[in-house]
Amino acid sequence: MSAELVLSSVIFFGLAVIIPVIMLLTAVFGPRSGGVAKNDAYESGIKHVVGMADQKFSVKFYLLAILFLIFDIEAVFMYPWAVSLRELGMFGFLEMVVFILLLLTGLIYILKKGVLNWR
Amino acid sequence: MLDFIIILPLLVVGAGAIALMLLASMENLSEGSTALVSIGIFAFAFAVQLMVSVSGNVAPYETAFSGMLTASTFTKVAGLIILACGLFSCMIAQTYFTQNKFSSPEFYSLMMFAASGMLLLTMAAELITLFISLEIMSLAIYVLVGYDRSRIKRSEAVLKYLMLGAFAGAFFTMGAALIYGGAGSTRFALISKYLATNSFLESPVLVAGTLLVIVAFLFKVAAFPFHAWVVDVYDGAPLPVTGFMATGVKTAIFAVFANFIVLDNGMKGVWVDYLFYVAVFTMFAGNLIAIGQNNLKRMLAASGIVHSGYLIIALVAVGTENFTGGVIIFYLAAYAAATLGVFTALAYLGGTDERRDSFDDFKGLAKVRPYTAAAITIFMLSMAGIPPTAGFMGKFYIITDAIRADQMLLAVLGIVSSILSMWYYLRLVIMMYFKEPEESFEVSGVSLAPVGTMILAVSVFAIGFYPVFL
Repeated sequence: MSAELVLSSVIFFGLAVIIPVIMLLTAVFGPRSGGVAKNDAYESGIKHVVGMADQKFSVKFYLLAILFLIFDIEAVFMYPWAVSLRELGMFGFLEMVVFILLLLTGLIYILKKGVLNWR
Repeated sequence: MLDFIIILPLLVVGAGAIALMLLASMENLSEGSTALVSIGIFAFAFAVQLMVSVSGNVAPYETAFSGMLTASTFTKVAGLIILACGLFSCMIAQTYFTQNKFSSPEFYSLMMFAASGMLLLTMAAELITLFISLEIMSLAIYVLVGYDRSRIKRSEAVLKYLMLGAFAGAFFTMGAALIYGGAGSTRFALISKYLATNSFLESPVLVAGTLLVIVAFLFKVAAFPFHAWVVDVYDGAPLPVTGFMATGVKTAIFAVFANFIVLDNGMKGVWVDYLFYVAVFTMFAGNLIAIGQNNLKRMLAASGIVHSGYLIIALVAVGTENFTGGVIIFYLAAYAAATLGVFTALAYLGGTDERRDSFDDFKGLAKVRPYTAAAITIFMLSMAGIPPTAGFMGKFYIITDAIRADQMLLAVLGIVSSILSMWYYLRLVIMMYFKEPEESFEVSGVSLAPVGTMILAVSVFAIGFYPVFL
């Protein structure tokens, strides 16, 4: 038997026998939790997924998501800058410093406004 | 260093906005002091802009920030107008918020952010810079329009403006992409160079691209096929924001529109025929809408459409050789002074929640408050174009410019539209002077807006005496 054949038999054995057995064992012995919350669909901040659409819902998730988006996009800008930093020289460096300082003021603002406090 | 000198006013306003924003998050600022500080920042930026203008550094398309920005007398004076608009809008806001309680320091901060976007817009000489400055301005204005979240009318206004504004932004981006595809550059200088050697009509991509860019501009200035949003949005926005939108945004967009349209004679030649019809329809559609309004803010919004029409006449008549833009900038200054003048008066007369907003509410104002009524009359006459006000001189320059550019029909139609517009301007004057007062027009609180009204009433005459060399 060639080595490849042994290897593939092992993989087949794993796929066909071990994984189903583990899944079966988990189903039998694993700890269980139940309840209403578990059966609900998960939707960021929206409590009643079924029902009228004009309900009030918390904006906390929305705020976090949009802040993440802003700072994430800023990070994207830094990649092309980092790649061409040598050609850009001191001027490019200072430009990025200004950019990050402006970002920092935004971060200070949202910190002071308490946007990141999970109330 | 020239680069940084031409954006110095922008840096002042931008730094002021950020400082105010940070300060507002740390201290509990009072409404009155915030207003005074922001008026101070605008006044300082105005002084800086004035010094930059007087110092006379002119950067053609090629130079400043490697062709990203341009600076000419035209853009500098546009900057002056924008900063003055910001200053008077802050005065309006100070008075407005003594009677309406939804202010916070960020309101003024956003006002300055919008102003910095407008300043950048006037100087933009490259499509991406143009887009970014357009968005800096628009995003701040969207927030300002919907600042009063407790009233449904405001939400309606912000929804309409945001949706349609986003469409216009998308049109602009698509147009910029097509122009880049056609001309191989986003810089005005290089597009102009490309067009000088290649015929404009040979490249369908360029034609489509410039069409989309012009559509975006026409939307922002509320010209004919894209004017429908303006009445609801101006009516729904808080009074200071409406004043700032009507004047500042229009100044900024027309500055950049003129800079864009004079890029190449061939390109302008193609669009002039379309802009001719746009100008005519804008004037008459605006007049028709304005005649039907009973609400003063809605009437002013509709008259803003008409004034956009006159400015498009000026754009049609503008020459691509030795472009100075004196006529356009003069008209913008005259329009801004008169419009902001009416808004400063409305700020203290309007009352709580803009209670007095229709023509009938101003019955007999002249008997109770003669000075305010006189000032409003001056502003109305200026907008209607009666000598010796700035509005008359502005229209005079535009009409003569149109005749000089062989647009006789357009000149005649402009005069006809001007006569039609008397109907709704003089209607307010009649209400104020020939009707008996029904109330006492009590004004509460210490406010700056009356000062602004008087300054603007004087400047309506002063601007009229300033000569423009065509």
